Amino acid sequence: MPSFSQFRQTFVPGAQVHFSALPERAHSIQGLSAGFTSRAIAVMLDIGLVAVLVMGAWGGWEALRYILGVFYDLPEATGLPLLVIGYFTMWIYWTWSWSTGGRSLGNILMGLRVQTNRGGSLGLGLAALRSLFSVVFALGLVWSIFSRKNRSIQDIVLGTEVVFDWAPLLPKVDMTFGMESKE
Amino acid sequence: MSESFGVGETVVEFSAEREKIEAGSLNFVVNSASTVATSAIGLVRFATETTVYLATESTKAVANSVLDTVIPVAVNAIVSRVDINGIVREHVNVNEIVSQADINPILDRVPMTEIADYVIEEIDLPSLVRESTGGVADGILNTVRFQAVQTDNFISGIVDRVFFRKNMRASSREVSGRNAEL
Repeated sequence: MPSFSQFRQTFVPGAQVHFSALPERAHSIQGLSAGFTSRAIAVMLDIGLVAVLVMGAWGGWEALRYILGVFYDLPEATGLPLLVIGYFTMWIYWTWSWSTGGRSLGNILMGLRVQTNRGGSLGLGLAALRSLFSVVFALGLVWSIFSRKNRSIQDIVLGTEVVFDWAPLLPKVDMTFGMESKE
Repeated sequence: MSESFGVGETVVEFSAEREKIEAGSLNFVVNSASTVATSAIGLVRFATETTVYLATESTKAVANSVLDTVIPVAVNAIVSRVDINGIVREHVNVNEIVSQADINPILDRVPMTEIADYVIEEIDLPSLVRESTGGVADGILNTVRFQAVQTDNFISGIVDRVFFRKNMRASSREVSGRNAEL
């Protein structure tokens, strides 16, 4: 146990994250690339969210049709158009959430963050590209099982990665947690 | 002093006049003499006072410079032979003096934030907060996350073994059941 004067000599304000209520085990995986299971669960959660949104909107539209059916002849929204709307919403949602902090709802719940290979955040263009790629070719995620660095096809092509970052309330967490940086 | 010329009143008048003049000149001489004497006395007094003043001041200066050199040495020689701490301990009530001291300027100099940081680190407040306020929802969320990580470790362990990889991905994620908190 260091004395206060010893502590004071080594104390550098702002260099240490003293207060982190995360479990100790979460510190050890902070900033490492996330594997297939975490990411697949996150994707499924996102799909569930978008499905709920689209189905809700569809239900509202149907109700509106039913109510106004006497006066107007509103078009029916079923099948393929609904699927296209779902894909489109997914694309927009992922673009928005990855370009603004790198987390969708599924990412937040699973403690993940999408970033570039260098650790920076995704710009709007890159986020839109990655989002489109993921929506069109979701199976690319399977490659993260085999990739040495847990890269999906999208990650390899666009130079991105998905890392563990368990503090969803903070925009970007000090990954060293008071320890020396890896550089 | 009157000198008679023997020519009647006119002479008398003249002699009276003359007496007046003589008296005036005598007066003048006396006045001048007193003035000169007064001035001389004043001059002597001034000279004496100045001399005395200069002598006093120079004596003071000399004495001061001598004392300035001598006293520190003397006091040092005395103090070094005396156990001041012992005297204070025996004769002075330190607690009373300290109780009268103004504590606010002292507290202003105390680094409160650093002390708070020190205490937080020493009592490991983060872990206390984790244990006391880790809500059920938080626990479930972390459980799901850890389960996913462990599943990943399992899968990637198999894959890495199949491909005969030396650096296995699971080993970098040190999430074993040994130090499980949940």
